[in-house]
Amino acid sequence: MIVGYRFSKKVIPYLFVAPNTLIFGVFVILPMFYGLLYSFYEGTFIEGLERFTGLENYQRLLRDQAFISSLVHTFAYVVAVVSLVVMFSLMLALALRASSMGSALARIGFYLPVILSPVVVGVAWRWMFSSDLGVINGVLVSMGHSPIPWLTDINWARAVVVLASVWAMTGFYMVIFIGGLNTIPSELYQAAEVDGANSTQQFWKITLPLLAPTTLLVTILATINSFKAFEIILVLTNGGPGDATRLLVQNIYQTAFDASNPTYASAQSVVLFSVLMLLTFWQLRITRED
Amino acid sequence: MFTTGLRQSTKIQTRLRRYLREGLVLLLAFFFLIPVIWVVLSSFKPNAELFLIPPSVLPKEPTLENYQSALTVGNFANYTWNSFFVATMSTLIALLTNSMAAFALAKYRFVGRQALFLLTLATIMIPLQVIMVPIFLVLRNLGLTDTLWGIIIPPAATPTGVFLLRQYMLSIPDEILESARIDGASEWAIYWRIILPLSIPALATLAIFSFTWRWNDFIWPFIVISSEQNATLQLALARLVGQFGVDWSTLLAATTITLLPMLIVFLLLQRYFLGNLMAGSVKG
Repeated sequence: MIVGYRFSKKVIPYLFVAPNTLIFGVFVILPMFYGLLYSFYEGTFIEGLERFTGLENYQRLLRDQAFISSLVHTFAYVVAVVSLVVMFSLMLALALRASSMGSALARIGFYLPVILSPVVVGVAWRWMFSSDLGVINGVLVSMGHSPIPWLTDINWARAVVVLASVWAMTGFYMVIFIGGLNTIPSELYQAAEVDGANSTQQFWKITLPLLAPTTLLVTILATINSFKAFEIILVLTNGGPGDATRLLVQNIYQTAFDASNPTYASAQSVVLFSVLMLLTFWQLRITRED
Repeated sequence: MFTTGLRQSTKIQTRLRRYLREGLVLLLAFFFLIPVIWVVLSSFKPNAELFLIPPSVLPKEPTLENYQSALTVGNFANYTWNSFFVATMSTLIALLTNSMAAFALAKYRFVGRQALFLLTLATIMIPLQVIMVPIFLVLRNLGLTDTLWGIIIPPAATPTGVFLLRQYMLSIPDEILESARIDGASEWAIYWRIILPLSIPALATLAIFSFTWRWNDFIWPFIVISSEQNATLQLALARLVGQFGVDWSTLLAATTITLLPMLIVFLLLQRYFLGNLMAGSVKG
């Protein structure tokens, strides 16, 4: 009786964690190890793993023009998006941190794109910037200007893709920045005021240095999210014109499902995963220090 | 007399400046939202009016025909139901499994607890984008490809949810649990009758976020769903855009249908989104 009770008492916590752990295990942990395994093999979706090839997939990456260009595009995209996101979200946080009615409403407005799905964001921006049908060219034409090939010119397409991504993310980081600003003690500003420091000096000497941990956190989070970018671009340009806006995740998808090369795609996934892991560990170290 | 007048005028000046500032930020927020506003406005325009030059700002002859054709011809009634079913079921499963795991992690000492908690945190870092290929194969082996359950079950074990609920449950005093045990309550009864009701604020937060995430999910259905009839709204929208010669009037109405529930949830519950509770956590 008592033995049975003790036994069941020991088992109970495991029963409670079982369902969640099962789903985790089957759909996250297991696929992760599979993915790593596949990257050392050659195979297809139909035949399965056919041959152990060691590091061949990885060696092939170094010579693969499509992969390298998607990697380069991804880095350029990440740098552009992250720097703009950090700048804009900080500016918004500074402008809208007050608890007034107007600021509160504006915060809601600037946050709103965050809750839209990336597909909806892509459709909305495509509807604005479509070359022959979009409202922006409509306005330009009616003012006597010639239409701009927003989504079919390499440079314009890249710019629109970056802006759409920034638009969708900024509100999220604005909220984090406001949280960071609120931790700065107001006595510091009062003291600076007494010492005759103007608001520009206060920004550079108090706000920015004390906000540094938040800024770093926002930078890393935005970097992680930008490396994963896929859906907005898929809808806006489908990676085009040519491959001008095709990023890493789209390249992985196309390698796996369009070119039916899941093992080679797995090697690319491992590269992406390593980058994200490094960034996440960095982020965790910062949040722990906080 | 003179000084009070002066004081009053500076008072009016600061107030005026404040109103001007408030007006300016609101105007900026309005401009910021033009892409969304433009989709919604355009969705009420008849097809011919969509491509006018110069463009009409407000619909000249507002019509619901785009919605009618999207829902019937475009089959978006079906996609809306699929999205609703997927988001609801996945959220219910997440609430149950996440809260059970969180309860064990918060209120029991057992071998492997720390490891399990760290593992949960670690899975936050594994984005779907990285495991697209193997997860497709796992789902195929389980016979879950092209089924709604294939996009309901896998994302239900949200690590963020476990973390959020565990943190909340830690604040529930152990004495309540002990006295219930003395009264002869089973462990399940403690979880179901005491812990869950006391965790309602955290459960509500998770429910809102989970529903939003699952409603907006694209990559899951993109990998898993191949048929027309099992498509969700996000997938159907992307497929419509991908076609040669986009049918904008249907697409705009369908996009508005897709964003409307999120808009309502957000406007009603915006403090959950803008509050600091979840602000630091990664989306997913």
